[in-house]
Amino acid sequence: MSEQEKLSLIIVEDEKILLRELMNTISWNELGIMVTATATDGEEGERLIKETAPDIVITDIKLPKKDGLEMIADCNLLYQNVIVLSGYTDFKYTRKAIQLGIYDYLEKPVDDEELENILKKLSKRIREEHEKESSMRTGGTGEAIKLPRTVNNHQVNCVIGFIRENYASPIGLSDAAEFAKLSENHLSTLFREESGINFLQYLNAYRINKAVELMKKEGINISEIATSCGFPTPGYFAKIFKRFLGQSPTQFRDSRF
Amino acid sequence: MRKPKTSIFTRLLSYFLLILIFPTFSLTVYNVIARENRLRDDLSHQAALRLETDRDTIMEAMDTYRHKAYVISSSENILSILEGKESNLSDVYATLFDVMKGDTYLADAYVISKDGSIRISTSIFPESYDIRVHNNDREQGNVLSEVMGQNKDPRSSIITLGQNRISYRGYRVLFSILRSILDKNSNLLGYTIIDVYSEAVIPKLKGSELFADEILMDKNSYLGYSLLHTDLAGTMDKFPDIDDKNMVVSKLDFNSFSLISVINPEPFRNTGKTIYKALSITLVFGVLISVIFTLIFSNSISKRLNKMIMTMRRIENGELDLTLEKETGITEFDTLAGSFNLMVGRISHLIEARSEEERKLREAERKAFESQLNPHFIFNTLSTIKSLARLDGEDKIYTISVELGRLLRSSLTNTSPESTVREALKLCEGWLKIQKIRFEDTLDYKIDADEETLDLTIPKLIIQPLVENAVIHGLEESLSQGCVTISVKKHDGKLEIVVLDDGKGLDNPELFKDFSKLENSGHVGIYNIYMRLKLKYGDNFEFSIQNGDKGTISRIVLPAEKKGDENHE
Repeated sequence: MSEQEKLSLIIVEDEKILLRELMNTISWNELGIMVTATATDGEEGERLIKETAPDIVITDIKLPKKDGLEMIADCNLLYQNVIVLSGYTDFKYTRKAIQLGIYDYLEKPVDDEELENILKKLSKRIREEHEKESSMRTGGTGEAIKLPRTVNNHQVNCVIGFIRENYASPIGLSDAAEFAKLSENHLSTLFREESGINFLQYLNAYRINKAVELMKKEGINISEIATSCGFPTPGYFAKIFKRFLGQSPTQFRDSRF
Repeated sequence: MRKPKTSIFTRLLSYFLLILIFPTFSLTVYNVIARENRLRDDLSHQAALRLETDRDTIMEAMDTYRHKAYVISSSENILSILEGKESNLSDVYATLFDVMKGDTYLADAYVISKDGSIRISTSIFPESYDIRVHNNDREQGNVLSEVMGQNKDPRSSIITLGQNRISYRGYRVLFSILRSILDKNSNLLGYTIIDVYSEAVIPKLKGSELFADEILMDKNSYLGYSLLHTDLAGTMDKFPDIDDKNMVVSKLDFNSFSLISVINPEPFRNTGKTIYKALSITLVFGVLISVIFTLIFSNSISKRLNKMIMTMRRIENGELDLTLEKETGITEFDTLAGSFNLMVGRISHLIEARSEEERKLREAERKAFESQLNPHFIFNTLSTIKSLARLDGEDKIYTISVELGRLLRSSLTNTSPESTVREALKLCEGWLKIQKIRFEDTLDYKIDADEETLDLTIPKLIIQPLVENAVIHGLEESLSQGCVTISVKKHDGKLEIVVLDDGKGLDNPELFKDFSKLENSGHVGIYNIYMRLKLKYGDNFEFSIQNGDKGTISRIVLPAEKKGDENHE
């Protein structure tokens, strides 16, 4: 387990006992997951997600201040990395969450075994994605991450074009889907099939390539680079950067330039 | 024995064609057989009528000229000149022309003395009547030569047919009348001959438009004379038509003559041909009209039928509020639709009554439940109990709260009449887990389902009652260690669900031989499973509960269906 990369996870749940129970009784260590933060309302959750860029989010739907699905959408996070816990009356939301393509949902009272099974499957997938990400490194600084510029699908090419145009803004899958006139779910699947990586990976990789370009210039600090490349927070930027290039932005800059 | 299948179209068309062809065919046959005879009869009847008229005309002409011959023969002037007395020749001619009324284009009169020395005629005296030249030469074939040749001394007129003899003026001799001229002592002085030309008779004949030929025949000499064909005269072998089978021949005798008419039926057959033509046109049009009518009829029928079938299919698929259209315009269809609607009405009424009952019951349960406790509160409470139990390491409480939550949610929120095998087994397992805790591990269970069966669809709540039955009736009463096994397998497109226990078995296995009798027994749960399966699958399922080697075996075999499968056409 030790050589396994620890995945980060955030739980957003307003029932504190459930939160405590999950924290204490799920065998996170065995799963290779670290709960990096917890939140009890939607706004706090959003802030934490933007700051730490967790690999997985477990969230309740009904939350104070902002509901779980809205929170995810505002973070420009992929639904594929989200597990939803739903209460008895959240049926309608649950259906919507399934349509949006969340990874899975559990009804309360939550069956912990089921949750662990789901986490096992999800973390396996995420690890594969991370491996893929690190395998895309070029080692150079011209294009730090190798990205396909075009694929054999017009719609995906449009979306890639959309990323190139708008990477500096806080865009997400929903914006791209609207642009390409596809459903989020469909675009997500199509994108992965055509380019080999998912939408968010492509977007982040592209942003990092741009960030590396900016690093060559003198006098721009890391947080400015993060903001101008479309990353919500420097923390998020650092986390993603390390995932792709194996080093923190500062280390990278010091070693290369 | 399989009946050959035919479409309504082919059937109708064959009936129509039969109706069309039968009368047409019989008419044709009748025409072929009867028409020929009728034609012959008709023609000979008409021929006989005309022939009679023509005979009268000919007889009249003969009488007229015979009389003229008599007048000439007994004229004083003629007698005296033949007796050699002095007489005025111009008086003789005057007498002759007077008698013949000057119509010498119809007939010519000749007077000849018996030695041929005196010859008087209304025209140039023909050589053939010149006794001096021919004397008794019968070969001349005229009236005179005949009389002379036989040395007859006829007292009355003799009429013979003229052969193809043409008069000096170019007229054709039809017949000749000869009369002996006798003196007061009945001594032969000479002969009067009148050659009557065809123009005297033929224009008056009526038969020419009907007859192919009209032949005047002398019965004594068997010589014939065609009245219609100017070149035909002579012995009968020149008239081949008379014996021809295709000809209609009528015959009328008078004096020593026969008048024979010959009709060629060919032109009248043409009317027969036009009838055949009309028949075939009728046939062609008939076939066309049959096809069109068949199309219209069969369309109107099959359109209605198809509509009914479509509706029936939809009803089959559960749209029980649909009815068949009862105003199709065809009584039988209306009756059929009426009966079907009635049947569907009864079925849907039954189902409604049943589901209404179930719904009311569940609603009542739910209301009773809700009136005391809000489900949201219950689930939250369960969730809290579960979390606390988990935190405190109370695994049994944890299990019970999770599984109870699952069971409650299923009964409260899941309204779909079907579930997947996976969901159903999960619920059974939850129920068994709780029971297992309740019986403090004297109960054990095994769930053995093939991976490929998990996504198949089955009616909701058909396994759980069997499991409950096994636990409560099979194990609970025995109070000893017991095990329930659920096995779900798929083979040959069938889904087999077996629930097995190792309890004491059924007290009364005969009771489960016929599930339909269980309605008012203590096994309503089993009866409900049976009825639901029956309603959904008809006869396409198996359900049995019987004693095994040890304990009870419940077995259900259903068609393996996935969600969406049943909506296929």
